[in-house]
Amino acid sequence: MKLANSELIESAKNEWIAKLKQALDLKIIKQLLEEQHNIDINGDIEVSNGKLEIHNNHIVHKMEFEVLLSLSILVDEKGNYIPPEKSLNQSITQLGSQAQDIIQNM
Amino acid sequence: MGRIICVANLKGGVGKTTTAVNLSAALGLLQKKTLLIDSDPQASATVSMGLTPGKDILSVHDAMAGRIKLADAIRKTEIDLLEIIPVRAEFFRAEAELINKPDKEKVLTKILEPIRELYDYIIIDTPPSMGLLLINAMVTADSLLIPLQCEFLAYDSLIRFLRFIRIIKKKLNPHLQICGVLLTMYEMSEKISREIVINVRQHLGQLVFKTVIPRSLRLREASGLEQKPVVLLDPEAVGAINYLQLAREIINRQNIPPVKCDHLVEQNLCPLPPPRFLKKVNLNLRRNNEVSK
Repeated sequence: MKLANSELIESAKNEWIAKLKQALDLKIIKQLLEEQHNIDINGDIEVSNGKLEIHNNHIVHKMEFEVLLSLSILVDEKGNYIPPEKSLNQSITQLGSQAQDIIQNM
Repeated sequence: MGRIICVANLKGGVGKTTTAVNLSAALGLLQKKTLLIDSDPQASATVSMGLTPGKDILSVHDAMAGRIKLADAIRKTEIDLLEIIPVRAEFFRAEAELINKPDKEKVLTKILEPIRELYDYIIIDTPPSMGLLLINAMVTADSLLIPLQCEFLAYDSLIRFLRFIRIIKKKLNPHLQICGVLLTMYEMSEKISREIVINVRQHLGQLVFKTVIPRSLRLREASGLEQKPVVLLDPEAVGAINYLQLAREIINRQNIPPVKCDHLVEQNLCPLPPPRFLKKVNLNLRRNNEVSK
């Protein structure tokens, strides 16, 4: 039993996404994504898709973005992979472990 | 017998003097008889307490060189229960005078002994270098308070200082304890600051004070421009509230044994004291002002 015109539902959905796109502060969202994923995003970001979802018993808008990322790896002259240097987080953790060891052995 | 706390770190600019000055003032306001000794020839603690470190001032280093008795260098401050032994701004003389002394690492211990029982707390501000002045302070102290700036390089430098403490404990002062690590210059908006707080608490557990000192313009103004402890100048400023809280933590805690690695200690970053406590501090201040008039 069909209760509504599916084309109308689809066009209302597209219209809603278009309005939501305009309302978003893409600069802040870009910063949030960079922090969330610990990455540097090149250029602007664009909404690629939007949908409704249930989150903690509430309806939420899930927005998906397309971003331009530059990723790299290092290879030496012999073709061997060079692993990346330690991240700041790893360095901090290493310092913490060292401090703990020294104090425990005092 | 007064408890001697040495405020030390090999790195400069981590908040040693600000901590020594404001902790001493806070202890005085909390009715603990306190002596602040400025052992750093940069004389920043002396200046922060409103004194001029000129030639006419009797200095802790005069007493260490044997020219005067230490008691003769004691000066009163605006706070009834806080006294200070200042220092003159002489960068090389103080170290040079100690080099040829017998037991040169224990000079401060010997001269402090006769007045130690007059105080509840003796706080020593130290220079940021591995010289005889710092060694004397560490040999004299019961415990160390280590200000740790919430920055990567400061954390890195802490490792070297901990190794230095281990040597002093082994060779010169086996009773030396770590009273606590104080996180300073915390900047909530900086990721590195937040990560260091979490990491230090994870690894050093109970050794880290619950009180965290945020980066604060008021603290810098108090010591630099106004030349008074912020707890005296503006008791309701965040820095003042935090140093009063630190003083209460120190009064309530004994030296704790080396790291018990419980997971994250409750993160109580900038809590406000209960209103009744603030009132008490204000009352004390009024009383001090009346006396000074």
